[in-house]
Amino acid sequence: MIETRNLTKRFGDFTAVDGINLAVQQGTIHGFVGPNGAGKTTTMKMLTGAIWCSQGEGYIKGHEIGSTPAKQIIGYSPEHAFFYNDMVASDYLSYMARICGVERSEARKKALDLLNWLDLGGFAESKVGGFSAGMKQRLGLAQALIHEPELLILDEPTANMDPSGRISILDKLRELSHESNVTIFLSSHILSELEQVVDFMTMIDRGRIVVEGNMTELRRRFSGNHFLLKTSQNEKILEVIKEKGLFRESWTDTEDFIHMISDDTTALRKVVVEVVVQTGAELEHFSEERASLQDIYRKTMSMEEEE
Amino acid sequence: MSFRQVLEKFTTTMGKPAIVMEQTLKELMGLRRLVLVIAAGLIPAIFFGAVVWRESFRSGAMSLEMQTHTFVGYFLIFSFIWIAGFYITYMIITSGMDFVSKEEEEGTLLLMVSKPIGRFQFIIGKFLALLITTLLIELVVLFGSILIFWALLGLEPESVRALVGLVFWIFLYSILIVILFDALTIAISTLFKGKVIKTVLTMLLVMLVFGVGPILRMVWPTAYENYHLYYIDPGYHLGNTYVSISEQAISGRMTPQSQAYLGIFTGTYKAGMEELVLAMFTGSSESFDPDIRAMPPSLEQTNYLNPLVSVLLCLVVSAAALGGAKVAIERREVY
Ligand SMILES: Nc1ncnc2c1ncn2[C@@H]1O[C@H](COP(=O)(O)OP(=O)(O)OP(=O)(O)O)[C@@H](O)[C@H]1O
Ligand SMILES: [Mg+2]
Repeated sequence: MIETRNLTKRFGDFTAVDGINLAVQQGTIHGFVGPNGAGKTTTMKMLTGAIWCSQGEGYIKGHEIGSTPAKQIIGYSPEHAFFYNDMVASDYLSYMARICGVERSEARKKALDLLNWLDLGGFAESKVGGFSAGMKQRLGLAQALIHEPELLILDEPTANMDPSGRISILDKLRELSHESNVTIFLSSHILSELEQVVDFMTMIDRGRIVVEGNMTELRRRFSGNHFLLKTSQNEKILEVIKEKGLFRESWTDTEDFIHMISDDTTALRKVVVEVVVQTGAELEHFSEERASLQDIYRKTMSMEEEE
Repeated sequence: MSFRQVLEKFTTTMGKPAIVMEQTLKELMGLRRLVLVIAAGLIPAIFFGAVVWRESFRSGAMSLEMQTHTFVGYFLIFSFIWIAGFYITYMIITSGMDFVSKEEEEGTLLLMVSKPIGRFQFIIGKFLALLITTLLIELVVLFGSILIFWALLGLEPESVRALVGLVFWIFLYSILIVILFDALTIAISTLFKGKVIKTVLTMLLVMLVFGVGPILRMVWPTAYENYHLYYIDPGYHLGNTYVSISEQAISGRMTPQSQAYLGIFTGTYKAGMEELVLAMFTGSSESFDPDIRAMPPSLEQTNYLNPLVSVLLCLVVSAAALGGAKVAIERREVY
């Protein structure tokens, strides 16, 4: 859906985005993370045609970025959205709808439906200038969705929202993805939330991609073969496994979970089951601890620092 | 390409600017703004009707024919300088100067440029909206001024009818000056951001159009002709167009007084200080004796250029300004 090759943006001598090759697959929710100033917003602005790339190329479903057909596919909600403050919300959305090619007769209905869907129904006839930051953010999302785009590019869509607002927005994004097969490319700093919705992730730092991939794979890759075990006879079992030399490191936490970092995960899994059966202990919990997005982020960033 | 495809292409290219145009029209035609703008446009008519021309047109002081003839001349000058002159150019500049730069300043341009509408289509929509609003408001002010003159000066119906007949021709000329200023203002709005620079530029523009020609001709009359400076004098081209349209309108019966004013302002008639002074006095009823036809002689037209050349040059400049705006907006990076 999005494909870039060597996409680069320079501001004078400073390279904000440094030759990134992005691939966002159709139908996925793709997270875009990285520290402040990493180049997320700059990349998104290039993708939406607000600014031009200094080098490289990019395509939206095969259409060159910045072209009208490419923009027809995109719904974009910027980091800081500004609206025509003197217009009332429904007029504003109808105007945007018509600019995107929605018929006049449909535009208004769409605008009202969308405002309702985003819990702004009560403000349809209020001037946009009076909206709070969170309401503006919702309106930003509404204007991005108004022409039912196939691709949403959202720059920190929940940044100004209250906790319940955030959850409801994320639910709505999931709904769009599942029910309407909309591809979503979104940036956020709130990794714990992002984690709940994304299938794919690209992390950038100083304009370069540092990690990318499928979330399931990334979690495994970054989990560091970390297992959790809890039984009715923890100590005995730990001893047996230790004898077999199947983990590098282990500790027991305050809630009586045994943590094990293993290099041979297949063997460990087998042995744990055997040992539990042999000792006749009750198995309460056995799992592979999966790395959270936060873990992935922290590990990658510390590796980057070292370099 | 089939006819249908051509048509669809036409509506898709025309469609988007039309939407921006409609929205901009709504903004420009707000009732309060409209009332204020029109009122401002009518003030000079009230002033001239109630104060300056009051004496000259006291009923009975002039034959009907003379009244019509003289007032048509007055109205032509009044419209050229005020209604289709300073008034509409000021209106275009004040409404259009912020069209693009304000959107950029306020950040609304970012969403606009990420929408599936060509950036130049957006500009054209604004351009058309300003064109239409200005012309409509001008029409109202033209008719409004005539009504005011009628009421205040007690003009005869025949004179009023003659004035109404002029409206079409003045309007025709206005299309040209509105296109020109609309295009230039939009170009300035697209190319420059700072409020100060935009204000200075538009002031320079107005001075260039209305001021430079008269000054040049006054202080340096030979150079104006010898070096063909009229080519680069926008005031001349506009005046040249106006005069030829007016001559059409009143079948060549331009009063020497109007000729003198137009000559001074635009260089279309051979007129200097002497003629201006003369013009100022022949206007009053005392200096005019209809029986002996003691009118000053008609002034000679300068005929530097065919009016069509002037029209064409104005259109070329407008197109160039829009072209500049197109290049600028399409290269612009919007943050
Ligand atoms: N118009 C500009 N001129 C010069 N430098 C710029 C411009 N816009 C962005 N930058 C620089 O480019 C870098 C990337 O900025 P960008 O806004 O893309 O970061 P980001 O990843 O979105 O950060 P954040 O998480 O804070 O939103 C920053 O160092 C910023 O200073
Ligand atoms: Mg950003």
